[in-house]
Amino acid sequence: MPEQTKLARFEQAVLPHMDAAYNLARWLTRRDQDAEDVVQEAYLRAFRFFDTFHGGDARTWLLTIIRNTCYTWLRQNRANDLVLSFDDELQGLEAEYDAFNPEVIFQHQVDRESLMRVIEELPVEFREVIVLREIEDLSYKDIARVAGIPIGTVMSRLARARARLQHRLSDLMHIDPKHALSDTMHDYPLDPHHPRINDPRNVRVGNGGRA
Amino acid sequence: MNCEQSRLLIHGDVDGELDPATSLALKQHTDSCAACTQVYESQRQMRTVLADANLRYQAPAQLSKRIRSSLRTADTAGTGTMRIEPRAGASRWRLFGPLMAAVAALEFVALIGLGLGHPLPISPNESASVSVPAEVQASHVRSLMLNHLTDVVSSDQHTVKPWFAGKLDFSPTVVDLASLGYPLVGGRLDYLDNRPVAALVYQRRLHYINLFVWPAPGADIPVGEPQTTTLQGYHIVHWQTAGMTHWAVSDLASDELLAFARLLQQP
Repeated sequence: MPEQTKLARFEQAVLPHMDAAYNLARWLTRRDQDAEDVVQEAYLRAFRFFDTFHGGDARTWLLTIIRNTCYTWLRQNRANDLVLSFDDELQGLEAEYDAFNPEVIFQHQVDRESLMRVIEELPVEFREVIVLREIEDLSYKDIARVAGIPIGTVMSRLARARARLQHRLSDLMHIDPKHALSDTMHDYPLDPHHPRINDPRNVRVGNGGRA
Repeated sequence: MNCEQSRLLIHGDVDGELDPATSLALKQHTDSCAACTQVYESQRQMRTVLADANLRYQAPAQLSKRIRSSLRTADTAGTGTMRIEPRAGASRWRLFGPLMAAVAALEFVALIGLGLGHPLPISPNESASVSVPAEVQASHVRSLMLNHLTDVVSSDQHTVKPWFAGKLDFSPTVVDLASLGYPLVGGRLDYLDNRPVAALVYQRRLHYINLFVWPAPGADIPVGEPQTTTLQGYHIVHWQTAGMTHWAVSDLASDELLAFARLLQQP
């Protein structure tokens, strides 16, 4: 296969996904110039490995390379970004699941700027699943491929990322989490008709008598 | 289904990822659980809010131009010698600041305790050598992730070695260790430490080993002393022989990887 043909095929299949590539790199590096560097590096890498691309979804293929190039870049330039998020991953944040009711937020009209800021502050592993799912609209299967994690992990990581996102949004808008609290696995919802959690007669065992 | 399971599956359902049976089971639960219904509804709303917010960054127009131009350069120069088109202003891409060296050194201090053999030397002045294990590990992961393990698939060392001729400015030693439990799978070109290198792929049961070989820049490390480290769960063994540097990386147990290295060191 002549080289010119390879370049032409590459340009046709991979170049159209530059916006998706830049978007992911911009979210992961958080800076315009760094994102541009990473995208350019990743495109050259992708071109080099293009012989291994046998059809299929070029966007997912490219995003995998973008994501890995971003991580390499972060390791070399901002290792702290990665260290912090690994700690989060290890400790587990199950307590964060749905600890409040996001509906409250939406009554406060979140502006785009606040949303972007809050997403940007997420640890990189959470940020990438949010970006891939909510902005790039990738399926769990494709997110699993791009991020190199099992499909089950995609769902649990999204759950935690969303919980964290919603927490930060409520902080940002000075919503008292007490008022926003709807339910955790261990608490009752703040429903006036619901038995109070501080009533010792109502200490819940098992499923809390819901079923 | 209990609330704990439901709280996780709600995400799968609002994302349209659950199979019909699980989705139905979830619905049966939320129908009888007001709290879960509320969470479901708010997660659905959250998705709408994010979708409507237009959070996508647009690639700048000049980026596309620059990438097209650097692709043409890479295309005419052939693989391995391509370079990145400099951005107007600064080039931060290959900048190893003192902070980076310090962080890398810390990382090594934390990790060397896990390895066998001799720990890799730590020197803040050798930023290049500090980054090689990370490159080796990243390249190993990438080779498995992108289904690009081999360019030449062969268990025959007399097929693999000549394949590198004309692609590299050196000739790597290729031996098959099938009789010793490490069959040769093939080889490919890779790019590490700012130069094209030979990547030889071996297998041990279901584990792959990437062995990277290139001419050694110096002989500051005693010949024949394998040095080991661990990066993100991958074991890495490094040794030098006859003017060549060798890096083996795998998720294989570190003692087996070390045994592999010792087999290759035998004359």
